[in-house]
Amino acid sequence: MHPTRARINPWQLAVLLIPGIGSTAVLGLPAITAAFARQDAWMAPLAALPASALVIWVCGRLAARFPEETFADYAPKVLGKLPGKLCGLLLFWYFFHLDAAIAREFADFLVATAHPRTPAALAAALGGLAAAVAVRHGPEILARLGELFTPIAAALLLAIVGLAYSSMDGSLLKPVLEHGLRPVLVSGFVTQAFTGQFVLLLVLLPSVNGVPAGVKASYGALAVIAAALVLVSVVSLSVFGPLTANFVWPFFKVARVGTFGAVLARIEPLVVGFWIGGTCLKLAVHLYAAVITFAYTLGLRHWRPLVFPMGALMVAYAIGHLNNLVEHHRMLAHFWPPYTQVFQLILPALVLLVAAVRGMGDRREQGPNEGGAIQDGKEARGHGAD
Amino acid sequence: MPNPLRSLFAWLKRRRPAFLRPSLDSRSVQRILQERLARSPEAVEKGNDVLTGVRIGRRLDANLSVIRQLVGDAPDLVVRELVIAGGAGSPSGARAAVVFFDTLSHAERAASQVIKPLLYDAVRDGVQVPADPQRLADWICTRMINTANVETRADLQQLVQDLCQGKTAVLVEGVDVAIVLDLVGYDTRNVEEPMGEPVVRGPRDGFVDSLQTNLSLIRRRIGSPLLRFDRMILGRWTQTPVVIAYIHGIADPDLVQEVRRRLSAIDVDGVIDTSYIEEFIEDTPYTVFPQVLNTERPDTVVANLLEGRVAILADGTPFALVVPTSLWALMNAAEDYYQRWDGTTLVRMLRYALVALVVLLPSSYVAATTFHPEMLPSTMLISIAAAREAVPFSSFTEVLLMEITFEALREAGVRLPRPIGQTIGIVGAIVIGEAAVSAQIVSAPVVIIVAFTGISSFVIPHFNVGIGFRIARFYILLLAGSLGLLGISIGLMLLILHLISLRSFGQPYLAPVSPMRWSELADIFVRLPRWLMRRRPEPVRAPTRRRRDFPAQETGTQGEGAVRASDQG
Repeated sequence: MHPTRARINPWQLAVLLIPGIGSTAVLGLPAITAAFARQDAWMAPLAALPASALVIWVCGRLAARFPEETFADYAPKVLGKLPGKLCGLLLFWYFFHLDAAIAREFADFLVATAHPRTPAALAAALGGLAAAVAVRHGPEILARLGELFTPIAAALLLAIVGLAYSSMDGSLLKPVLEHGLRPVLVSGFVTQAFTGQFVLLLVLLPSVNGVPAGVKASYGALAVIAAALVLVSVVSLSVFGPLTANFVWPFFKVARVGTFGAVLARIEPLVVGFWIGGTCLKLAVHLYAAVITFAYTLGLRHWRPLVFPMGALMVAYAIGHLNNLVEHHRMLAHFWPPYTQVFQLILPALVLLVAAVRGMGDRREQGPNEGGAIQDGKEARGHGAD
Repeated sequence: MPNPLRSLFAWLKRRRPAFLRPSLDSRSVQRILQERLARSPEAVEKGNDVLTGVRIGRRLDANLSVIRQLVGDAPDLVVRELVIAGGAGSPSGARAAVVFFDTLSHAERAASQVIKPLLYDAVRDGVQVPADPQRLADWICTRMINTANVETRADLQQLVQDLCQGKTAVLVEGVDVAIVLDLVGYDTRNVEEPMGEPVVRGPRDGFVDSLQTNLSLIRRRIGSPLLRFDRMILGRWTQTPVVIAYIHGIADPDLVQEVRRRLSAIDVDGVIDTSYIEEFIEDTPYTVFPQVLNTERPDTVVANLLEGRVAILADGTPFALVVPTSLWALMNAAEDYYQRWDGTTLVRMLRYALVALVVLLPSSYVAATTFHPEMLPSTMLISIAAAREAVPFSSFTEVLLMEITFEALREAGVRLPRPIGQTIGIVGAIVIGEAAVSAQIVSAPVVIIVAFTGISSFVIPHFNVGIGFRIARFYILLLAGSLGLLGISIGLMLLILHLISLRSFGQPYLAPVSPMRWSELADIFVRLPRWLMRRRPEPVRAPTRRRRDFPAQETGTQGEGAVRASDQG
């Protein structure tokens, strides 16, 4: 089924995007931003807001120009066959690589916190399996999973914050802007690697009932994610202060220290459980995006048979492409932010610019038949083999 | 013969005018019928096809002998021959016969309401018995017979069908139709409180095993004339009357149409209980969760009809089916609506919390003791470790052992006659629980956990969804024993994914929660006061047609009796 034939509503899109983007960022991001901005790290999500909003705007404009198509369908029309297909493949590569990074993070976190003797490959494979099963059910089911998951996860996050309240010390956040704005902007650039994942909209928006409402919901999701990240950073920083940068998952530590007298303590198993759920959801969303982009770039008619092989490849790449946790985190902090900008902002913006210049995607031209896209795909594959 | 040709012939056969149809008057027709019935059972396998299209004849003797033969000279078939006393027109009187099964009809009512008028009231002075056969039949219907429901039948097959369902027939010499009267009467249970769904407060009547009584229990509660009962016959041999009940104007017409379609696609030998129907109309057969609600409470059915759902009732069972349903509807008890809303809300929360425990408590214990001891508070860890010290098994084995024991006790308790059932309770509680701990086969915490889980599983109001959760518990337990917390999380996620993807007549199984419909949340986790629940739940969209129906039951399996369930090919 073509993704444009699935129907999810804007609310579902928002609750799918929130865990689909925020779940890995919540636990680990404060450590990376604190390494750059120290006690001002909580401003990083705010610094990243404009660029992330720009990503949503670009995706929204593209979706408005080509309402019934995914990126892989219209890129060849805008840029010409070969460059368009190449762009589709680049976008696929981004989703695939990101998915592998998420799986890696998933496995590393589990091995480090709950399952020290479990091989990372097994953990990643299980996450990948659950994600692949979810993806095979289609985007509507994914969205409904988000609907069930997000409110409870949000409540848990607030509960952790509440429990940690007694350990917080506001003075650890001072002095504000000790080194000026530069470190904040650098950490905002890092954060943008996470919040810029709204490029998912290139794949998801065509499935949403009403593009403008979908874009609005995405801005809402961005606001929620940014607020959650600010909250998480503030809490982590005010509990651990300068130590925050030394942890890998500072917010998990926060959950560990949080208590409510003798009544409620040690809720970190809950955190691990929910984080597994949220990360599986994020894995699933990106796996879906990767599979859809791949299938429609190559002009395949059905994407479902690709899900399990793609998931297996993704897990293999996740385990194979980095040696250990340290490498992974160095990559996330230094290589990842500039690298992802290429796909999150530059690529869609380029397509949008060319489309605008060529005046494509006018009202009259909308909704070209799918068969044409598939035909194009076959020819382009022939070119690619030359 | 090719299929279209065959159906064309069948159509022509059905459409031919009455005088072309074979009548029992002709000797050849009688002989053919006799031959067919005398042949081996395989020839009769197709049920009543032997009779298709045959008309009732004018000659009483021929009619009676064929009917007798058809039912195999049944000892409970009463054939009372009589003479309708002749008036001026026909001095000798008209011969007639009253035919019924005395196992299905009231013999006294037949005597007083049919036989007596025909025998005695017809000879009174001034009564003119018409001589013309056609007018004679009319005269009997309108003047003589003293019952509410009178019909005439010209078709032999229909007549025999009616007889087998308890109707009474009057056949008259020279008249080629039978007069069919409804004097159905047989013993059924009295209307009493349903055993499976008792309430402290609320209506106390429950369905019984007779369709007629059950329909009256519904009709009595809905005064509107827009209540609809659609009748159909299911079961090749049992010919069970099945009724689709809905309220015209509230129920989605597409839904009613789809229910009708799925029911009419059922082709089985017999429908003994509505559960036979349930298995055929489910959207997803491969799941442990029921997608159809069953209840023996008329008030529950009526409440569901008022929310636009459709009920299916069958003769011979007190259980009505309600479609579409959702997990939340299956988690609600009838009493939730009769007690105050605040108490009900708390009880519902308790119920959902306990269901979560049913699925997660044993597996969490196994995961915590096997993989994540650091996650337990230290004092608790020490006491658990002390209790487990002498136990030779892993905690997974322990829990599995005790869970299976508990399930065995539960099943034994259900199957045993009630007086012995108590013994099982004592044996289970004292011998197995106490002795297993003191013999150090299992540790005390495991007994506590299993017992608590068991009790929790009984708060689920609908038994069959409870079974689903109990099976899910074992699945999560297995994952927890092998993969710890990761296993629980992944297992739970896959379980929820499965629940989300289920549908009941096209409606998502977790409907007002996922996909979210805010206005209907007032009756899911909480129950708001009735004056705040102003909106009727609406179907999200027309129910999806199920892609394929189940294959019909195969014929020609003599000796094996009825094939119970047909495989999905």
